[in-house]
Amino acid sequence: MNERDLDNLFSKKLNEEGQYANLDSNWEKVKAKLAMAKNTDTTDAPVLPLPIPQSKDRKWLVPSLLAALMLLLASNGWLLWRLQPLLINQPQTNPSTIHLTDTIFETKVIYRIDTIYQRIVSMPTLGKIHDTESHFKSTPSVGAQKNNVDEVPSPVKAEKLPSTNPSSPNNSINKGIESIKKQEKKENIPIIHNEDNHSGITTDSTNAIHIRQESNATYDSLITTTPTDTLKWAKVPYDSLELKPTEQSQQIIKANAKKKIIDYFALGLQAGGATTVFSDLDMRPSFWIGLGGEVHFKKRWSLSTSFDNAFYHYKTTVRDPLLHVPSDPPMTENYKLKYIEGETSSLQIGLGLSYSLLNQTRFTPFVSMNYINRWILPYQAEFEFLNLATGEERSFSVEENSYHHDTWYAVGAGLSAQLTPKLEARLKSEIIYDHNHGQGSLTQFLLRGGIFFKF
Amino acid sequence: MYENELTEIINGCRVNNQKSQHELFALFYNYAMSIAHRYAGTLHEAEEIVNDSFVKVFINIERFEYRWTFKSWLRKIIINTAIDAFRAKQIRPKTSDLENFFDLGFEIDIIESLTREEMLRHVALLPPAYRTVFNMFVVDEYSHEEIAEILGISIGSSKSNLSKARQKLKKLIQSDITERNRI
Repeated sequence: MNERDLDNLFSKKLNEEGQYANLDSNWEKVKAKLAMAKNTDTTDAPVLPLPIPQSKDRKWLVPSLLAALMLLLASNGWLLWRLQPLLINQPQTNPSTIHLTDTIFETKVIYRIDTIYQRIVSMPTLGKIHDTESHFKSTPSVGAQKNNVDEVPSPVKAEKLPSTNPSSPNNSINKGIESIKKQEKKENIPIIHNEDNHSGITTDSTNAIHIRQESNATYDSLITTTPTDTLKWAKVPYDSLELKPTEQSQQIIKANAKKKIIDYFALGLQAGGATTVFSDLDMRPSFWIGLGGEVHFKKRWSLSTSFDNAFYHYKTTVRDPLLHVPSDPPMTENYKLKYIEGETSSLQIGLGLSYSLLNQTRFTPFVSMNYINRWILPYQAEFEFLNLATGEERSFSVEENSYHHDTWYAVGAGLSAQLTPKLEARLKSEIIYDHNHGQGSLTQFLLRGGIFFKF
Repeated sequence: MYENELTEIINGCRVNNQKSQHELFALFYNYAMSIAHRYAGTLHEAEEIVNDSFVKVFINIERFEYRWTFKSWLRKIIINTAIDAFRAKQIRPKTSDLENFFDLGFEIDIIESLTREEMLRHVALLPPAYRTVFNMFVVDEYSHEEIAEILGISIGSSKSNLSKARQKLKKLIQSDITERNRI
């Protein structure tokens, strides 16, 4: 007896009308239900079967979430792209850009005034060369000169003093120089120039004349008066006049840059397709979609992690370990397997290391290696058998309820393109190798792209 | 019955005449139960399906067109109501209890000797998913594509459930025969 006979017999007998007692209680139940239905305004109740409950059909959920995520990233990117020119064209009123350098400039000016002041206070002594000893003791200039020799005057004090001598410094200097020259000519006094510029005072044993060398003294004041403030300003990275990084400042920036290990973080969305190579499987390309995170460090290196969901559809007669095909239904010898068809979904978590071949260019090629963990989620496979004797086909639906774990290695290369300062596009191709099974059929070629947002 | 008489009853139902509704119910109760009983596991469930089907009929009687036969319209409603009832308590069929059914074989006479009630009893013992597909495909002549669409399963699953239903029926019949012979 074949199945058609069975079907025909059942169909024939079950289509016959049976005998069922129609009790009044049945009608009462219908009446009650009808009344209830009318009260609840269900006059348009469906005659056809109800639609499949949404909770049982959640295929829309993942695409909707991904679409929303992509929309969010796209709008963010667009906003940045739109704001970028505005930020560049904005007048530079940001205090951090400027204008510490202006302050520095003014501080230097104050210090120069101090220097000039010392000249000013020194000049009157030049007119009384022969009386230097007593002059040092009595005049205010002595104090200033002593400061040059013995102690370091503070710039603040120097700033206060100029009020004691209102005369023009330049005029006083010129007058002083002229009077010295006149004195030299008149008295023919030998002037011994001090080799040691720090003292500013020399003694001639023959003529016993003490001469202060103002030029040296002035110079000394710059050298010897080295308050800690002054040293600090000397290391300021920007020239206040040029508003450009000086050589020194560049060195400082480079030194700082060397200290910085992590360059930036990036988060992004990536999607792509993979297909097997060297395979005898009739496997359609699988689709990958997921999120990626990266840490870029030392300019050229980056560590990455990815969370992907991959969808495979296969139709095969080969029980390739890649597929984790459920075990065959028990069949007699008459039946031959035609094919197994299944759709799997897997969760994949990857860890990777990349190296950029170029640095600070808009398009950056890179190489990478990845370690991928894959979990195949439970799925259903269809087994199609053929009865060799009768030519009859049988179909079985078999559920694979367990999770399967694989580990893969991947090496690849790609290109990274800087779209905006904050947005990067990436295209990468990888060869994935399943080291657990070591079969050629398990090697896959993956091509995928992504958009990454830099933090 | 009868065209005119039935038309009169249906017209009465259209104006919510309770007498007409009761008449229609009584007239087609047996027919409705015959269909519902195949899909339901128990007689009680079958009654529920029939009651719900008639409620749908009375509420939607305006949508009935006279060019249709009332029986076929009612049949459709009963089957759909049975499918709804099946969906409400649907459990995915497990395949782990698959056994080697294909070795079982018996003569056609044995099946022919079964009464309708015996067949119904065997069908009622099938898991709901198998029973529904078996009824739809074998008795009500739906295609696998239609079954897949209506039940929200794949065509492969529909084929698979049908195949399992057949094998299970064979096994049930076999054990029934064994039991009979033992007695």
